Amino acid sequence: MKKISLISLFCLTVALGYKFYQVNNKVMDDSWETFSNKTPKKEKTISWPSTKTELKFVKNPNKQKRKPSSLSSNLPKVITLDGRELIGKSKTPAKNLKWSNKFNPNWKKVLGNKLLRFQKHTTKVLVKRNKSVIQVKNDRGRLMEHVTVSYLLGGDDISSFTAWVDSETGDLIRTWNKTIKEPIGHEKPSMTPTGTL
Amino acid sequence: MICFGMVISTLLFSSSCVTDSANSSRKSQGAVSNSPSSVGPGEGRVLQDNPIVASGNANLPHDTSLVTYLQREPVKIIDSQFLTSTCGTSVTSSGLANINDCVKVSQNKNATQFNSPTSKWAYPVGTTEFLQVNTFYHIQKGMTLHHDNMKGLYNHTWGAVDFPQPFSSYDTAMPKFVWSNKGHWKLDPDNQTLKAFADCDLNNNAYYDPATFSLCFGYDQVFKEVKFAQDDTVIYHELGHALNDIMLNVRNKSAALTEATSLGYFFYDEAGSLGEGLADFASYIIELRTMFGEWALGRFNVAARPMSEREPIHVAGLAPNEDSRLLYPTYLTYDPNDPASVNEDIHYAGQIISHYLVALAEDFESQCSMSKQVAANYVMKIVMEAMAELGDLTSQGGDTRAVGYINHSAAHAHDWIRHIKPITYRSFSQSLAKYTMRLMGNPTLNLCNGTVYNRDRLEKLIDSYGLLLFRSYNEVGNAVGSVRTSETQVTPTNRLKSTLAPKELLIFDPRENASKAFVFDGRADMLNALESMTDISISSQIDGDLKFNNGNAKISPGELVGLSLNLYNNSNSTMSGIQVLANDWDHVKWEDTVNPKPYKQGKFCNNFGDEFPIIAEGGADSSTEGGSSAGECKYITRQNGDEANEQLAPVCMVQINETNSTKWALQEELRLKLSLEASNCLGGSTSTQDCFIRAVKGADSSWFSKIDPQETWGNTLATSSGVPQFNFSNIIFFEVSPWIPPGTTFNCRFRARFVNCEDCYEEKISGKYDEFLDYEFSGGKPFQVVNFQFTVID
Repeated sequence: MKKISLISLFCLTVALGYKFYQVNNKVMDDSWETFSNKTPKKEKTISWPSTKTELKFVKNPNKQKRKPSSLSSNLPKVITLDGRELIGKSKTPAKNLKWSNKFNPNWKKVLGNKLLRFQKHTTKVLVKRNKSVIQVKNDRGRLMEHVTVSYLLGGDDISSFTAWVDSETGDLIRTWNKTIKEPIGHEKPSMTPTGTL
Repeated sequence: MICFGMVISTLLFSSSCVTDSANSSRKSQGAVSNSPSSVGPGEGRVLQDNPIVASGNANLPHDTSLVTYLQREPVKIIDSQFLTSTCGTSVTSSGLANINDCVKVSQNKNATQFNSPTSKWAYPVGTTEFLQVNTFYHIQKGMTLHHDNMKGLYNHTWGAVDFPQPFSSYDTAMPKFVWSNKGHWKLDPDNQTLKAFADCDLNNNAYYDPATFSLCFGYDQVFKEVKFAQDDTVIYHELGHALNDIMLNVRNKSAALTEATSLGYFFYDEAGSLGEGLADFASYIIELRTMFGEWALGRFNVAARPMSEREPIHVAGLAPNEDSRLLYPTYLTYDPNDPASVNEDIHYAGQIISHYLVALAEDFESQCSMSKQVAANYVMKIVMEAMAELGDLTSQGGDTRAVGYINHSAAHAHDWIRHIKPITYRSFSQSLAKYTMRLMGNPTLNLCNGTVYNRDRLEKLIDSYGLLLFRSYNEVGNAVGSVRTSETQVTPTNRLKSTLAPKELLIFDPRENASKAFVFDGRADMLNALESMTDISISSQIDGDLKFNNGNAKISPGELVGLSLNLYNNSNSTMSGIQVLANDWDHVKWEDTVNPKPYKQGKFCNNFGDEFPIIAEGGADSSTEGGSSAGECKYITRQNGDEANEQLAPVCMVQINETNSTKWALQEELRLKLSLEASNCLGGSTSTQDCFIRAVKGADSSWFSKIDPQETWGNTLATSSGVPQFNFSNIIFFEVSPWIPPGTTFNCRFRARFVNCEDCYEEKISGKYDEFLDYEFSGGKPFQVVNFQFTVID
């Protein structure tokens, strides 16, 4: 009994220690994660590491880094702070920046909830963090995540985009790269005014 | 298990008795046996053109055996065992431009890529393997031509790929280090392989997905055996979208930016229609035919598209001469398959640019005595220059140009391209014209075979499409401090068909009993909209089920509301590309600039043509301002609100009742008056100036394709039932705080403009026209400012 208690205590300590390490070292989770509403009433969003089937559409299996070329390149030097790339310009040294937000280790889950907020409960959305950055403007820094978002819409239909996301609130700051479709003969989405003012 | 399956498949397909026809091993009507044994290693057979063209039968039945239309002679597919290619190999022997695994074709997302152990790629046409080979072949063909054209352009500008010269031959947008930085491909961290799914579970659809760098080709909804990948023009069109993406971001990738520019951001906008027209042109440049999608789209869905006025699908009266072209904006909503309909759709609106590009190629062919293919290649090189410049997020638009040349600045370029100064028919035509002259009109390059392509000729051709909407070539760019009197001017007498109207003629419908706006507050409709508009964030102050949306056509606390302004064209010509902006802009004079941002107190300026609000009602007094100091009403922010004493303000102001008067004020003032916690604001405690009414970011501008003279958009686009069909891009979405006391009145100060506007983009300085500088689009000068007031009612 004593042994079991000791082992349990050890496991708990290790788990807590790992969690503490994760939060404080802002471990960046680069894996794809799938989000879905648990019930039709959408009381709770659940998530899991994306399955192989879910990933086949979005993941590139032949990841290849740039190779050195025979010509010199003019790529700008990447400046980082705490493992995050700095984007934008500031006269203030990076270490002296004031912060307009703070890192939330659950930003991805918060984002998943927001992405599913107005979706059918059967909808699944995949989210992947590509990189983390600090957007600097004047003397302020904002923590942001660069993500790819893909809604699985049934069959081989998807709807994707890439975005900057606030690392604290999970808000979409800026989006681009939306799917371009050729909906032949499909009824166009339309809206009916309820009246005029 | 998979390997076992592959072996069985290989054995089956290797068998010489396997033929194309499902029921017969005999060749029919000249059909070839398409079995692996009939081709050499690395070879296969494909449909060189779509079945309608190959058969010459416009009524080809859906169940026709397509084996009849295979090209008899085998073609090169690939020597390896998988349909995975390296691209850029034709650019240089040094391998500088090579991208390994740049294209990979498979059946669909769930299928493992099949292999051919013998590298023989001949399969029965009814099989998914054939579709994959067909897709691979055409993508390779299109991609190789694209990279060859890019290399050709590079040779004109920088010289040899491996040994570029120090300076470019002319002022180019093409980056010098494009090859070493792999700007000729999409090299996001996880996305350098273009994945093409040739046999998708996708009915009546195909797509390009830039976020995952993938193509997907579906099937006909009714005749499921009709596959989109059987139609090479559809393959080229979708590949065209991918190449548009690459061209538009060539400078961004070369600068290693994470962000990218998209050609179109809304359900309808002119950039999106240009993207569709350019994708159609991607089919032309390979097939040199002026029809697109006859089999997959045209035969069973009546949705094929022409690219020349001489195509018989067009209505009578269109012809390839200067008086009968597919005129902008007349034909923006024209569907040649159903000419009586009025269709606000980017695919049909894109026909004008595809027709223009084909006409330009045909003009090169005749004026420069060159082949059709060479002429089309030159047009594509001009497109490459225009795209590289217009999509540049670094704001330089060229290696040797200053920051701010285009798209304002690196910090704000994305917002400029997305909605503040988006790519339109006007900006695209202007950029095309500039680079046409730099390439084909450049005597040093001598690309026009001993002659120089004439500027008058070019302007007349552009005008014949109604696209001569600019009055200068804007070579100097739009940076603060740029010299504004040295631009090449368009010859005014060349503008005969292109019409321009002053912005002041875009007004609210002045007719009796006319409303100012259409309201959308039905719960089901708004929920449907939110389900489709996946890339916007809605405030947590708005209920997740939109329970406050009561559909009473009023603006009520707690609702998500759509507004579509009922704008009227008071001119005698058609207005096009009408855009209403509800994003933050520089229209407030801040009073607390000694404190750090965000500033909280200020007054609305009234010097933007609307003379509102007057000083007695809370307006700022700018009468003594010189206009040269930051913070003044007459001074427009140079850094879009980032510099000291400047800050943008939301569009909506609130009316505050005081003891003896009312005034218009910032929403923060109402919050303080109500003692509402800042955390209860729509944007939270850091965004109190739009605490109560907020335009949803990403849905804060609306687009309308065109408005006929003396009409509203609603009447211009009215369907047979007499009412227009609203789509998401016609509507601006607003969050309405549940904390607003009923009876509170707001005024939203929108900025409106249109593409064929005579004073929205340029002005005359010292007798010469030049574009407004980009910073001026943070203010009111390039816009018609329109005020819309409403009272929030429970």
